[in-house]
Amino acid sequence: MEPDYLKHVESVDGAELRQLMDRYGDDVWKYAYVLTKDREQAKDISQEVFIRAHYNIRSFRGQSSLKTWLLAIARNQSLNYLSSSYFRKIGLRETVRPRQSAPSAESAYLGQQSAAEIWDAIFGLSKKLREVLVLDLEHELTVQEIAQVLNLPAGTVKSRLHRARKEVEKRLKGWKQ
Amino acid sequence: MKETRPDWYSIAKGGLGDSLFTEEMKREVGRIVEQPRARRRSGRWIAGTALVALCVAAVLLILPLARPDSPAPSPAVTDEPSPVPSPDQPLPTPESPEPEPSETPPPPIADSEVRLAYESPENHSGDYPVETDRVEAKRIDKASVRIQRTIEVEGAGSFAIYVREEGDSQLYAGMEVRAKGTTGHKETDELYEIGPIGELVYADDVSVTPSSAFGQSGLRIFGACGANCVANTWIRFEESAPDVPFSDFRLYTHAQEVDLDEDGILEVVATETSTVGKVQIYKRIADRIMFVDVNEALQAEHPGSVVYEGSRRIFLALLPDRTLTYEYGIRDDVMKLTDEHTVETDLDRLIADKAYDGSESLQLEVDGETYESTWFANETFPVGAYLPNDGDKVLRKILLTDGLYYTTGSGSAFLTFRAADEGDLPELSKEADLAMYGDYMGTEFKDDEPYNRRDYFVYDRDAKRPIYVVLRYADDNASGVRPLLLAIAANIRYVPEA
Repeated sequence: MEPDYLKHVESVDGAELRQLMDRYGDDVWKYAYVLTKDREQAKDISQEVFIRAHYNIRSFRGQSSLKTWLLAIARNQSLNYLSSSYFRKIGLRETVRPRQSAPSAESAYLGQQSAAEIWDAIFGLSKKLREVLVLDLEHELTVQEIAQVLNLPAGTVKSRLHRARKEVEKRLKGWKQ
Repeated sequence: MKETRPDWYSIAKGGLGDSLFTEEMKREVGRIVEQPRARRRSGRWIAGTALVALCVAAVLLILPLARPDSPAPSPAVTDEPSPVPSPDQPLPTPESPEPEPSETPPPPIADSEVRLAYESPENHSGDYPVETDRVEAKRIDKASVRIQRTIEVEGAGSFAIYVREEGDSQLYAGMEVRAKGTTGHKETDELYEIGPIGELVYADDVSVTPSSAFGQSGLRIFGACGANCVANTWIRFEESAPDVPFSDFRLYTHAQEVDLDEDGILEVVATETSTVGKVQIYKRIADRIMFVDVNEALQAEHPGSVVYEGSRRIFLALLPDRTLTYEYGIRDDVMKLTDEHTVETDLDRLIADKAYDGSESLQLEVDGETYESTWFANETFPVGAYLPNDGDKVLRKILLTDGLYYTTGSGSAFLTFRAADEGDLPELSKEADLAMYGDYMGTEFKDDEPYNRRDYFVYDRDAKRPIYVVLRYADDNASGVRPLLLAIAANIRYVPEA
């Protein structure tokens, strides 16, 4: 449930900001991490997102959901980081190892694929495909919401999402063989 | 067409962990926002910000020494109000104190000749609005879609612009499938679906035009999906399947086809107008689409910008303290600094780089008139301005949370502040009457509004939180209201941290 009252407020106080962080902090961190593949940077970026939200809440017009607004800020911050020559050239990257989770019985189609294997496949995608997939899978945004965050036509989001899913499935099948 | 979520989603979801945004992080954010504008950053933020600050300081100190003959019109280094900045007049030249030499290196500036290294966009870690994978059109039944428009292109065929289902807003482009008959081609009941091209509300904006980008004959389909969201799809045909369109180049930004290196083959210049202006050039090299990031090549990355001026075929590198002009080499992939390049210090900026010194009032001199003005700190941004007092000259003034609206005998105008990361900038054009200011970003015209002109200036005293200063007025009343507006803007002050 979105805090609708925020659509028209000029500022958020400490308690409200705390609520925002409780509700969306992990989402923002995860998205920044998926884009940067860097835990330390995800930490910095996600904190920066809420600081910016605090100062700029009046620019939130309620035309998108609060979650997509925060994710869009996180994306801008992450892309600024990625487009920095310094970081691009020294290539700060770490091996991404998501936590393990128990495989589900529903995974018969792919065998007993673990969450870590799936995330390895996801992190192997190009950034364009990876972010669309994660916004769908992890953040459960609609196609329209993803299009808003990425500033892309909804049809392009659909086609990227389709390609991303196929690519992950292809990689998982390849690993299984 | 809806795809069901794959089974493996349920396994993967949550796999990144939880409680990632920790209590400590929340406390840190809370601590920072409770100390307005005394924002502490950790790790690399501190190092990066300190480096930028050092570099800017070094340039401010070094440049006057390096150019002893140049004027020193620095409103930023005097205690006088910044000059009334009539665009028609050169800035005055008050004396400035002799700066101390600095050993800090200046910020990077590209060489006078920059060789461009084209690379594959697919392998690049940056985020660019391009797709180069091959997508071949698929045949679909014409009856399965809702056609909104049909565009005839002489010699190429007929293109349908459609939505897939009633109520959909996503527009697609398709090409009519024609069957060969004894008397030529005739229409069929099928389309080659090329792909998404925009949103339904922009159906009238879709265009299909002949293209010879990269020296290959084809068509370019343009569509829009929002105020600053466009899609360009280039389609071509192969000899082996001359009727089947395919695309291997799509750009989600504005683009121009231009023969930059004058070798007879058109390159594509892509321009993004977001919080900063970005430009990329695309070329086909050895049958692969390659690109170069012009911002990176000219070392004009955030908060710098690059603007391509198609009419003059030049690239402007807008750096925080200067603007440099480059042109593409003839038959050579190189950017050359032109003779007409301007090396501008912040002295040529409209908005003085001055901190608020506590003065409550100031006299603004505009076209021989004196406006008694009073200091107002902005509630939202760490800036303030001296605003003319109400009286016989300023008839009415309304303070807005993000700026000011006022009416004089000459007309009304707005001055507003906007966070640079609030959203994408609109399409801006560089107007000659303000082009002398280094901090001028460009102008937006909205013909359907009474105050139809908006001039954007960037104020990046805090390089991490740049602000746009937007001047809004009726273009046909520019000479009446703009001088005072520019004078107010020129005397904006930064409010130092508490």
